[in-house]
Amino acid sequence: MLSDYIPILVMFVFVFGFAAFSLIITHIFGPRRAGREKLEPYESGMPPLGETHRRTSVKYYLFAMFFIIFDVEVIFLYPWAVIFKKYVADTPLILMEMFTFLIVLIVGLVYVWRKGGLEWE
Amino acid sequence: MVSFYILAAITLISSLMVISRRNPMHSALWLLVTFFSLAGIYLLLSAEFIAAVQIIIYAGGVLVLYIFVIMLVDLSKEAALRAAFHKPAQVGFAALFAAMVMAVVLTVAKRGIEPSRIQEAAVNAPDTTRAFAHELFLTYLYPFEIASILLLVAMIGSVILARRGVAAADTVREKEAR
Amino acid sequence: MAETLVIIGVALAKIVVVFAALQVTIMYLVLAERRISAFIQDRLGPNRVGWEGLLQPIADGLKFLFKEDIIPSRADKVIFVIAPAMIVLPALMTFAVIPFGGVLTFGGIKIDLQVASIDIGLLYVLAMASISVYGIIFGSWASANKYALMGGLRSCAQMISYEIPLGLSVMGVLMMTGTLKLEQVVEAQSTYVWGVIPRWNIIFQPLAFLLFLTSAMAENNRLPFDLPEAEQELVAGYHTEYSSVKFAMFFMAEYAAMITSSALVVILFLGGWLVPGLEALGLPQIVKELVQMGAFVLKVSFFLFLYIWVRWTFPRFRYDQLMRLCWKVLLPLALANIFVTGIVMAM
Repeated sequence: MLSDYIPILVMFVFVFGFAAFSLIITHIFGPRRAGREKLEPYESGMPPLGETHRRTSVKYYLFAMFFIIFDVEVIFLYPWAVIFKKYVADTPLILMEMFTFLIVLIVGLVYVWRKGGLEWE
Repeated sequence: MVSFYILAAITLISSLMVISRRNPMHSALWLLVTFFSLAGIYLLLSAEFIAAVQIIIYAGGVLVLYIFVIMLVDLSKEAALRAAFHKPAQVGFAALFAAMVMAVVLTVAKRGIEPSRIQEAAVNAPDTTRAFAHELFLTYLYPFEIASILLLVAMIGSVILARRGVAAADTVREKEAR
Repeated sequence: MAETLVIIGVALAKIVVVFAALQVTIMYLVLAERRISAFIQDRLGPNRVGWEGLLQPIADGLKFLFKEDIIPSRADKVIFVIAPAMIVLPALMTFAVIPFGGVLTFGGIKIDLQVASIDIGLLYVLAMASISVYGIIFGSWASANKYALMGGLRSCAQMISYEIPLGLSVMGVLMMTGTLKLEQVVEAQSTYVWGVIPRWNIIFQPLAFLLFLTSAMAENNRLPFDLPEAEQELVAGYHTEYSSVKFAMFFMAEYAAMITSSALVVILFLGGWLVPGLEALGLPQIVKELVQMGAFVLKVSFFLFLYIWVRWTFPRFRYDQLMRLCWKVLLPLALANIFVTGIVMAM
């Protein structure tokens, strides 16, 4: 039912208003004393060294990729888990359906594991 | 209806912002807005589960991957990137692909989509998640199982690509060291 | 139209109450953390403002308000300013679907003790958890500080990784209850095994409970998983450049997330607001509801205390250990739990 979501919309507007209000009052109340050094990036009091936006490691990409793959798997599991109890008595096949799906992915997990893809050296 | 037009307008404007921003992180932020308004449209169609999937997978997963890729690529060498991505063959392929997608969209839009017949079990389901589950696990079982193979391929592919990337970076570093 | 206005009005009233309760809890949770940590480390902690330091949160709030709001010169100003809002929004929005009691009947009017009852309640909570990374990643990127960025990236990779065992560990509960509605998950736990033991999910899913608790702790970047803000190596992590109320907002989001995950553990595994044997007493309905709400608060408080206790007891993990724990221990265990639950239920 769509009307179930009206409270969520109201909550969104409320929280959004709260966040905007907080961001505005800190602008109004806070004192302002500008200084060139103060506005530099903070590196424990040392002058900032090197570039800020350095290239990140490829490992982040790799783990994000694994995350998406397993996230898709998890998302498929939700509808399955919800109807599982209702069907398992009559059609035990429903168990095998998901186990087949999971086993294929576990093969992938074992492959990645053996290749050292899960190591964060 | 009004809410649909509002969401559609947000979707269109934000996706225009995605492709027109020069800073890729700003594009990513606008893409987040696009994903949310799309989820809102799914919700209007009473597809609650799909709306949740849109947020969890696209907003919560795919966009994180995009951001990591943006940070992986050295954007200070914009000229080199331009040279790498503006080869005639690549531009031609991209144009062809875009034309194909547009053709599909236009054909569907002109003909209108036939709502597929929904199984009785799904109609009687108490909520849309259960209806979706009935369809997926009782009617469209084979495509679902094949999806697992697709995920397996993606997993293996990303490991091979990343390993090649690491190996290439090592050779570059060795050359620089010499 | 009139009906819609009634829904909005009722929702607004509930939201104001929930929001106020939440803010007060966050304020005193910070104080509790400081006092408990002081007790664990054998010192006093803040005890000067008000009796035993009870007015300390108000003093802290005022101080945040009157501090200078610094925007670094190299920062991406727009994103830097909106990032705190991006982290506060999902953290507070999650409470919309958390049920903190049954149905309160008050002079013939029935009030659900929950802001919004939606069919995909649990998925909504996980969706909000999955987008809470953006405040951190955009905030740290916009700060233009390399330590902040490193902290933000680490945090992001950690949060997405631990979302997998988090999502998988609730699957056993879902298979047993067959619903995504959180209030129905609680109601499914209201019967008894052999007439005495409450049918709470922790009895049937002890492994899932431990996995969920661990993943939730990592998801909230709490010690021993607080690498994103490992101060010895990264200054202060992703909020290094933030000051005044903006910093307070990052803080608020962290504590709000702690409360949400404690509430979720209680709802999924410990029977939510249920009190075993309460029906047998034959109390008036309204008293019963109030007792149940009190029980819910008490159960949540226990897990909040556990969070604080763990933080001041264990040392921090190293980043590779953290990732190994997630992908090589929690993930296989969570998958095994699904297999075992499925086979047992099919038999």
